[in-house]
Amino acid sequence: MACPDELALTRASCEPEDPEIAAHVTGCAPCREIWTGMANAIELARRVPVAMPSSERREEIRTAILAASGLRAPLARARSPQPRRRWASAIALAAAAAVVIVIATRPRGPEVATHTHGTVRAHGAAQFVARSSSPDEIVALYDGVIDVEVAPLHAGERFRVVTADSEIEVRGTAFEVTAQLGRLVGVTVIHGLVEVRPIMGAPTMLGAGQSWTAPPVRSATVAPVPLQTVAAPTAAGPMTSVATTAPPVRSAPSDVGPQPIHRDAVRSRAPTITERVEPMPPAPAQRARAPQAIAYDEAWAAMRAGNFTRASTTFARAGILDPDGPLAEDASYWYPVALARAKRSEAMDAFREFLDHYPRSAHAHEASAMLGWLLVDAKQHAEAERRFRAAIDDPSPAVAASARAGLAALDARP
Amino acid sequence: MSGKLVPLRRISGETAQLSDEALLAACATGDSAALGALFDRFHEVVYRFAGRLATTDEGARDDLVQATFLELQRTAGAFRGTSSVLTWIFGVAANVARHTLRGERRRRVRQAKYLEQIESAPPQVDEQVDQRKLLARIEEAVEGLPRDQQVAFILCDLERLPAIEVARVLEIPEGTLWRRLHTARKALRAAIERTTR
Repeated sequence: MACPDELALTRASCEPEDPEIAAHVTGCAPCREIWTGMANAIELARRVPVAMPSSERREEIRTAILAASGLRAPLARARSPQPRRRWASAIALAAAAAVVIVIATRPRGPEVATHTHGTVRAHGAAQFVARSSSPDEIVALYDGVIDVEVAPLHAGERFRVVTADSEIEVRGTAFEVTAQLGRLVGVTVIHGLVEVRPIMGAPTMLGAGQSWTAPPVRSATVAPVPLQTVAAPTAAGPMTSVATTAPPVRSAPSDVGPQPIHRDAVRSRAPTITERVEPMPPAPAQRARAPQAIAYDEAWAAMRAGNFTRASTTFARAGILDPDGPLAEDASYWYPVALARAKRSEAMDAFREFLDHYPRSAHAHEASAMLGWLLVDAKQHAEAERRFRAAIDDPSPAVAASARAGLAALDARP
Repeated sequence: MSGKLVPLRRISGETAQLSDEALLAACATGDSAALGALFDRFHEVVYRFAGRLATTDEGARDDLVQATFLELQRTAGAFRGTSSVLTWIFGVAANVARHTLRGERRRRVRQAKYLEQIESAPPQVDEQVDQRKLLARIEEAVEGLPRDQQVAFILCDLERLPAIEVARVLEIPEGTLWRRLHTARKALRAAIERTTR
């Protein structure tokens, strides 16, 4: 047999042994040298150490992935007139979505919702949300009373009930939780151990038969959720580098990075029943910030640092931490913006989800224009035209100009 | 080509007991528990892959891992069982890397500085220094490869994945894969020879 070329030897080294080539390599010194050289190079390359993340970092990344994957699932809440059908829909939704968001209102008879490890029974017209499934199951209780029974959890698994102002973490137990308009009112443990972690107070461990009751609120009116301080929207926006071919709609100040816009999400939606209560007397514990606000600021820090992929996952996490929270809408808007800046293909779908979910958002036209430019790049001209047209009447001259430029670009294409 | 049926139902039972294929199928339905289980099962190999590519820093590596698993969820429905799930995941990671990793030059500069430090370090135990120097040269050589050769070498030679499957998930002809692998190996051998000469 003539000496095979090096390419043939490479191929032979990756495939099941060819007796003819094997015999040749054994007897041919030059071929044996090449063969041995390849094997040595591979063996040495395998020995190059690769740094692995710490277990804490690994957990952070895992959580960020699950949060970001959850935000891709529909955030809309379905209000069905038939509660039993509602649960059927919820189960169907669970099959199709990473995060199930269902508000259950039960006017008659106990309704049972079984999660991977927990069974939730609502008393009366309790409103709760099954926000995520195993291994980190979260049930968000907005209003009413629920009984929760949790089967023993395995290592790494969690089960939590959250309200706007508290978190209750369990490990194999049964307990009852009461909330009123987002605030935790009381917890009674039937068996097992429960840790109650109010945002404004020290954590409390409860054993079987023990109860925890929230301190009375001074105001007669109860706030639905803790509201963020409202800041005026700034001109610093995300539109400077969304699409490579898009003309800038807004220019961020050259020496200052984009700033977070903390807006009251409730403002842009239908009016709520209750207004914000009198501020509580200043206390050190009140300075504790909601996890959503913390995640939101982290996301902005990543944006300013130019780490757009991380910003996108952190905005996603901020959105999912409290889908009804004051920053949920903004987080849902900045999520696709960050994705677009990271030049990620998911940006288009994320913009569409935002526009579907928040059609009346103050950011809707801006998002529509940005999506239009992404669609132009993707050669989806029909939808691009629709998106630009939706943005063309925006009161902001920059947004309107971007939409007009987009339409002009579409007209000018060959 | 006829594909495998993907069950459109929520997974039941413990995720730890499910096969890789079942987890991927569940992932395609949007099941976050399945995605979490896939992460638990495969994050180390994805990290290793990302760590071997020319990434700028740990942040870029973390981003690549995150983006890979999110992309995995998005594309899980396209899995047709023509390769193992492991190879499929590597294919997704390679695709994500192709689109996202930047700053290769910065990394190479950093690497060159590191090599200078090693070479100028006071002699310790000669053999250990030589070994470290050799490994650093190899790492540099792998990172210096064009991305497509890097991926071929990592997947076929370092991760020992079947070349036919690798070609399939990278959507390249087998011949192209052999050429990339051959060029990559040749560059590595040259790097080793330069160091040991």
